Amino acid sequence: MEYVNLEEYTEGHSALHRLDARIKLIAAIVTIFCIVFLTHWYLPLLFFGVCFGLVIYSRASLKVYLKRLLIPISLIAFIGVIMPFTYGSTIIARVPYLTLPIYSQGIYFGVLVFTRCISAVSVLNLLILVTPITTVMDSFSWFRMPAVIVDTMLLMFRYIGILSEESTRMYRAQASRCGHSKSVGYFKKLANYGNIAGALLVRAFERSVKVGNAMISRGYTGKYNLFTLEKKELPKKDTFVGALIIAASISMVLVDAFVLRGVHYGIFF
Amino acid sequence: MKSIETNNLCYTYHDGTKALANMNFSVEKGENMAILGPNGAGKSTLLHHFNGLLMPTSGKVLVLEKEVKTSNLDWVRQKVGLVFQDPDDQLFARTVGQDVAFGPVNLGFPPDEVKARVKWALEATEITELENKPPQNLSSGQKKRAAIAGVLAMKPEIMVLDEPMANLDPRTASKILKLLLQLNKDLGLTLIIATHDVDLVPLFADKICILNRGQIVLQGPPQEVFAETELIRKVDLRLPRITHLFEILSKRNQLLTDKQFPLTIGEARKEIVELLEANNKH
Repeated sequence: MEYVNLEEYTEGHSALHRLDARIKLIAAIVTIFCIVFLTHWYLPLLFFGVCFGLVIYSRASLKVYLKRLLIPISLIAFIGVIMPFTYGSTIIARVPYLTLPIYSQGIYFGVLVFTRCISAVSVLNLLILVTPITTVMDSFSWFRMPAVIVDTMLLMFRYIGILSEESTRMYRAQASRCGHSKSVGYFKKLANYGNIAGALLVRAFERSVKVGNAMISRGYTGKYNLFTLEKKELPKKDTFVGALIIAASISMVLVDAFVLRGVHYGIFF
Repeated sequence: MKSIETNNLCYTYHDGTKALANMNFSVEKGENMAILGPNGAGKSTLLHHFNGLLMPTSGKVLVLEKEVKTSNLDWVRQKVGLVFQDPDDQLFARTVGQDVAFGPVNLGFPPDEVKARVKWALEATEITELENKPPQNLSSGQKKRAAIAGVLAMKPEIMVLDEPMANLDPRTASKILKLLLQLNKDLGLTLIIATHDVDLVPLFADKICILNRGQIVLQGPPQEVFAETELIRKVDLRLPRITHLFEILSKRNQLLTDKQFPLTIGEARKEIVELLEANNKH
């Protein structure tokens, strides 16, 4: 069991690190929307490739980048595998013995969903790899996200690490008394993890009461934003870069819709 | 003038636990008060009443001779700063600077005043260089200083600290204590410190209040309080190590006179030197 440290890999000095977080955030959101609108399976891979290149350029940890892609890939791959059997009308083959139909449209959309998702996740992954999460939240605040949501996210972020430390301590306390040794059965281990989860829930509640008291003792009435935000102007150069990224993303959608025109199964097969 | 006073203060938790019973406590302005007591004695419950986090079941709490009421809690919280035992409960903002600004922002000060107070509080606690650091990256001692700065920025007249030296190494604990004494000296702050560290108490306390099972069992200057050795042991506390040593030397070796035992190393040194000099004369 490892400590969760969400900001471990955000340090850096590349142009991407220095780019204003608000620009990065809006560019990332627009790019993700554009990816969703792409209908040719290979186009999202261009975004994936660009993100991959930017990770290398910004000297961010490639290992962390790929590690963070693993879980989404496994989830998306599952959906991608299901689609050929469930979506479409043109049967191109059947699974032997099971007589399960395999649809050409299903294969195409399975691959398309996979490339779309993996590219969208890559964009977000790149964003949090080169931007401190708290700065991203400041940007949400700048974009007028309700203060209660931003405050809640900031508190969650602040205390994830502490809860992680507590769960690691509990795990080690169990492990030190052979709670996770080889001789212990699978179900007993699961029960031990369950105990950690339960205790963590209780401790999180206790902690929230204490933090609430600490806030009230310093005059918090729930009326204000928890954290002061310095209102900085958007740098012109960064705004220009942001506009370029957004324009590139939108132009990709236009190319997809008007140049390549419609869904071409033929390109895929 | 009394900084804080309680009159027949009683507090019962929702589950029926009587945490405080008819407590009459007082601390003068500018005084350093230590609250000692075993676990579950009611120390934290008492401290939470000073800041209005808990309201009495019966009895009164007076801050600067005004009764604490739900209608004047903002004033009370500005006057009485409460530093929690675990700084992670208190440091919730994303940077130390923002956390220190939290109190002044809540008090409604304009941005310039907030900035000035943050700067002053960080300087007073000697952590100016940590202003932009996230709290999770600080050491325990730095967290404690940041927590103190967060309260100090509200410019309270009374500072209440729950176990400020807990979980700190001896050197850091000593530094924190020096910082608090400096604040008491420079700003005339009244300090009320709940602690288990009996050895540190004589170094800072003008008065000691010993609690047990929600009641005050002993209150007075350190020399008087630590002279009540039997009572102190009866409530599961102990004498400072140096005092204990002199008690043993007196009882078992008849080496010392029956005057009051020293409480600190400085006092002990003085007494030993006097004893040696007296022996040399003979």
